[in-house]
Amino acid sequence: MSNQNISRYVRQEIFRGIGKAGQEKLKSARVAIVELSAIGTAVANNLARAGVGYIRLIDGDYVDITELQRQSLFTEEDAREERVKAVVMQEYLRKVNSDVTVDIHIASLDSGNVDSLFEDIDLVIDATDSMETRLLINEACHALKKPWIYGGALASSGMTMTFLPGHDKPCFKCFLGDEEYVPGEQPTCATEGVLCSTTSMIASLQCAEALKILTGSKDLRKDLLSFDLWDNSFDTFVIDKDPDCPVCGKKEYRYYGKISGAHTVSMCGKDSMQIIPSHEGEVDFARYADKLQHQGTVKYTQYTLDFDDGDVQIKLFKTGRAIIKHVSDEQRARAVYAEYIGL
Amino acid sequence: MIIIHNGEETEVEEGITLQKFLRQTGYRRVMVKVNGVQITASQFSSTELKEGDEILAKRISGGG
Ligand SMILES: [Zn+2]
Repeated sequence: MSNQNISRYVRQEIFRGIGKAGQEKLKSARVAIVELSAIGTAVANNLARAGVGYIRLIDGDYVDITELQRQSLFTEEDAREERVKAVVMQEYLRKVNSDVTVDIHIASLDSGNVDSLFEDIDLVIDATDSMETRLLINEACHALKKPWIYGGALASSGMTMTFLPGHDKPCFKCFLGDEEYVPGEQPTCATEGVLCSTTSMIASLQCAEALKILTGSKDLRKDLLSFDLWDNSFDTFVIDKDPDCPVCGKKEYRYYGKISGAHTVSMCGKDSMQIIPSHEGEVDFARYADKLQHQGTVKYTQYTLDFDDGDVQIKLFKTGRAIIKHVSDEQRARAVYAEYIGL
Repeated sequence: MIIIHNGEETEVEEGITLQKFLRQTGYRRVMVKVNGVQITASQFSSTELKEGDEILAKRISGGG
C-alpha cells in the first residue's frame, strides 16, 4: 500500500493545537538553537522532526565521551574522533528530515556574531550551559525583539520560562537579581552532575512552547516552571516585570553590543579552556600543520586541527578559536595558545 | 526553632530572616515560597521565619 498521499506530519495535523494551517506555519518558521548541549540536541531533533523549516545550530564544541550519557544523538565513534557537534547534528538531521534546512555556525555565540545569527530568526532556544551566554541571549532578544525560551538543568532539577518581546513583559534579568553575575558563582553539571531525564524534560517543555509560539497559539506558559525529578516536586513562580530592571527597564546592556577582546572561557565538564581571539578569521590549517609538525603530532580535517606533543593538546578551529585540553588555569591556556598558535 | 527546608526539618536561630537563612544555606539567585506563598527577592530581608515554616527554595538553573 502506498503512503505517498499521507503527510509525514499527519499526527500533528490532526492534533487540535496545530492542524494543517499550523503545520504550514512551522514550515516557514526559523529557529536558532544556542549550543548543542543535551538540551540543544534534543530540541534540534524534536523540532526537525516536527517540520520546523529552518534550524540554525550554534555550537563550537566537539563530542566528548562523557556527553553520550545524555546527548542522545551522538555515538561512540563521534566521541572517539572528537567530531564537531554541529557537523554531526547537521548530517543526522538531514537524514531525519530532508524538508528542513539545517544551517550550522561552528562557534560560540558572542556579542560580535549575535546580531547576524538572530536577526533573521523567529525564535531563539537557549540550551547553553553558560550563564554569561544566557545573559547575552536575554539582552540581544530584548534589543532585537525576539522571543526566546530559557532552559536550565542541573542534577535532577530544571527550570524553564518563555520570554516574549513587549514593554510589559518581564525578562530573565528581572528575576536573576541586580547583582552582577560572576563566572564560577553557580554550581555546574561538572560539579553536581546531571540526568538525561532532566535535560530531556527541559527540552520537551521548550519544544512544546516553541510549537505554540511558531503556530501563533495563545496558550503559552506565563510562569517560571521549576521541577526536581528526584524530589518529585513541580512548582511555578510568577515573574513580574521589574520596572528598574537594567535590561528590559533601562536598556543598560552589559553583554549585548559590547566588543569583547581576546578571551578565555572554561568549558563545562571538560577540564579544558577555550581561547577566543578578538578577531576571528579563516585559519590556514595546512600552514599551521607545517609549522607544528616538528613539535608534535598534527592532524586536521575540514573543520578542526589537532595538535599533541605528549604534554600539550590543542584543538584549533577554522576561525582561530582553540580549545586547550587538560588545562584549568586561564594563564596557562593563554600561554599555550600564544606559544603554539600565536595571539 | 525548626523549619522545613525543601521537605527537610532544619534547626535555625529564633527569628532569623529569610535573607539570612538563604545566605547561610549558600543560596544565590533563588526562587522562594514560604508556606506556599511566593516571596520576591526584595522581600527576603523583611521576611522573618517562624517555627514550622515551610521553605521551598529553588536555585535558578544554569546548566544545559
Ligand atoms: Zn527585565
